[in-house]
Order: sequence, then structure tokens, then C-alpha cells
Amino acid sequence: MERKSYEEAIIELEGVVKKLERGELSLEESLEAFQKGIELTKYCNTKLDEMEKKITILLENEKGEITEEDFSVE
Amino acid sequence: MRKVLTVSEINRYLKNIISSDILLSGLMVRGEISNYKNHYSGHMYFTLKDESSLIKCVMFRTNNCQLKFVPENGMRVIVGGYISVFERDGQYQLYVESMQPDGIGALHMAFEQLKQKLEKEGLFDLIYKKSLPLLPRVVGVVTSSTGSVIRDIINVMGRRYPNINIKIYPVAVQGEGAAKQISKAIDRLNKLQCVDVIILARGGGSLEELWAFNEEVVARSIFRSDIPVVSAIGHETDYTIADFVADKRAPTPSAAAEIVAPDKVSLKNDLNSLVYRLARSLNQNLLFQRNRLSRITESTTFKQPFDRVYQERMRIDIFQKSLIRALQMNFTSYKSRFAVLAGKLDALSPLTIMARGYSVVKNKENGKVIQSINDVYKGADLEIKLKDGTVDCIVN
Repeated sequence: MERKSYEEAIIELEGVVKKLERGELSLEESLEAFQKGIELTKYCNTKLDEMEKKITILLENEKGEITEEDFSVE
Repeated sequence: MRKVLTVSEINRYLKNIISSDILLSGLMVRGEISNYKNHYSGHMYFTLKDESSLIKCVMFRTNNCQLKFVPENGMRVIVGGYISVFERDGQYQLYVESMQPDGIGALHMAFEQLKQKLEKEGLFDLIYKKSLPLLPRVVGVVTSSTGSVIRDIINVMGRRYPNINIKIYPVAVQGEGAAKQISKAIDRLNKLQCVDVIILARGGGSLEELWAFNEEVVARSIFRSDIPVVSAIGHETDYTIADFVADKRAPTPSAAAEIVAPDKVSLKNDLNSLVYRLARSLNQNLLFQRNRLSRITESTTFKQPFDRVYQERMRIDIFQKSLIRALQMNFTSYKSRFAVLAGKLDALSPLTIMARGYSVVKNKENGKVIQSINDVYKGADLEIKLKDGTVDCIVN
């Protein structure tokens, strides 16, 4: 699947569900929609879980460049 | 004999008297500003008046650059300064060293002035408010790296979305240079493009402590930002200029964290309910199609599939019969027409005429039928055809 944001994917998924729920699709189209829906669900789930918890602090060095360091809350 | 003084001498004398007066060398005056002029040199000239009197005033650049607000005609103020004489013009005036609005504080005045100015420019307009991402990949937080604010934000976001990414841009949130740092942080994050949303936060404090968030540079940076900015400054009741310009105002830093970080559990629930609806509607469609199919298989047509074939076969038989009948009728009519034509042909035949006793004479040499006496000559070899044979003869 092409790279899309979580938001785009969830909107598309909602569209697929609504289309299927209207019951106007042929059997083949229903199966296709269902498959598309399952793919989108997997994609959304991956998007939700793929991020790794990371908290950093941006610091400016003497040259005015930004460096990044891990930040921990005591 | 009285001493004759020069103009300069008398003015200098007066100046010395006034300058040595304790009251006049350090006083506070209440009045209304009029004839206000901000000279290009940076010095401010105006008069201060009440109902019945006025006094000329000057406020030098070194003093007025500290002012948070801009003096205006009609503004009621309390000024601090001293009285002295401007020798060249022989005029005494009030040299203003400090000024504050009469009735409300200087910061309040500055706040109202900037608010009006930016509102007029459209910086608070709803059309410029950007929507926040549903699921930000990275959240930028511009605040102090120490203290409870950053801790609260990290805790709340971590609780709602355990695998959240946060980048902290530490800034001074009060005091000299704080506004510049905050403004720079927002500009820098926009340049780096490393976050999807920015939280601008500070804990509660007095108007003076929150002041950096009321400065124009901060407002401009928020307005310039392509990344949506959520402001969370002070307590719920504190409103700063930054709050008005921000794309979204949160009442507290913790609330900002809740607005920005989605609740992962509810996102997962939403997804699950979508999958459930997906499966349910597919099943419904399958059931519908199955019913449709069984309606068809149980119909008569489907149960006696050859019925139609038999019917068609019967129709073919009927067609075949009519075809043969039509053919036969045609044949009979052709036959009778032939008899009539044959009769006509027979009547016209020369054989019939010859049968009645006529004959046909032909020149034997060229085969031509003799039709006149001119066609024959003496000694011509002729052939006479009769009904039952031919006779050869010579003309003499």
C-alpha cells in the first residue's frame, strides 16, 4: 500500500465500511471491499504501533546548530 | 541701583532655583495626554492637562524605550519625573522618566493595545486556524525543560499514547529575552520540520511572569508557523496574546497534552468496531446473495429446465407444416400457369398452321424463306416444307 497518513487511511476505511453497509455492491465487489477494508485496518494498526516511545531535547551548540539528546523525567 | 541681567542669566537663575527645589526634582503628576508627538529622534513631546491647566512634557528615548504600551492623545496617565527650565525658550517643562496608565496597569494597557492591533491585522481570524493532526508522529514542546509543566505533559501524553515521540525545545518562559527565545524556538521547529504539532506551554504565574507570551514577536512566530500550535499558558483563567493567535488554546498544559496526544485505546476500539462492521456487512451481503440464489433454484423454470425446449420444438413442427403446405400450393399454381402458356404457344406454332395445309418455301442455297415472286428466279433450288416432310423442286 502507498504511504498514507493514519488519518487518510482511517477516512478511507470508514468510506469502505459505509459502501459495504449500503448493500449495493455485487458479491465480487463486496469481497473486494472487504479485502481492502482488512488491508486498511492492518495498515492503521501498524501505524498506531510502529512508533517507538522517544523523548528527546533539542539543544543548540556554540555554532548555533541543533543537537538532539535523550530526555528523561526524574 | 538694580543689576541688569541678560536673558540667559535670568533663565539660568530660574533653572537653578527650580532644580534645587526638593518637590520639583522628583514628583508624580496625573493628567491627560494631548498634543502627543513621537519625534524621529525617538523623544516624545506632549502636554499633560487637567480641566483647567496644562504643562509641557518631554520624555527622552532612553526613558520611553522601556514603555510596554504606546502613549496616545486622551490617555490618562501618571508620570514620574522632574521640573526643569529649557533655557533657550525660557520655558519650564516636565521631564518625564516613567509613565503608567492611570486606573489600569501598564501591562494591561500594553496587552489591550497589542490585542487590538493584531486583531485588526487578522491574526486571530478563524480562517487561519490549522487543524491538528489526528495522529502526530512527533510532538514538539516549547517550554522550560525544568519544572512540573514538561513533566505533566510527558506523563499525560505517555498515558494516552504510550509510544509517543516528543521533542522538547527548552526556552526561558519568563524574564529578559524569554519572548525572543520562544519566538526563535517556533521558527526553528518550522525550519527543521521535525514535528507535526507544537505545544507552547507555561505554568501559572502573575501577569508579569506570563508577559513573554503577550509580546508581539511570539504572536508573529505563532502566526507564521506552518505547524499547528496549541497554547497552554498559565491557568484556565489566564488569557495571553499567544492564546488568541494559536491554532488551539488549551486551558492548562495537561489539557494541551490530552488534546494533542490521541487516546490509543479508543483509536484501537474505533478500528475494531470498523472491522466488526466490515465483517457484518459482508456476511449480510453473502446471506442476501444466498437467498437470491435459492429463490432462483426453487423456481419452476429451474425445476423443469426442458419445458421450454419442448415448447420450442412444437413451434418448429407447426412452422414446418405450414412451410410444406405453402410450397405445395405454389407448385400447383405454377403448373396451371404452364398449361395456359403451353396452349398459347401451341396456337402460335407454324406446325399447327402447316397441319391445316399451309407450307413454307425456302431457298435452298441461302436458307431464306420465299415471301415474294421476286425472291425466285429460273432454275432456283427450293425446298417446300409440309406438315409431314419436305419436297425439293427447281423453278422453270
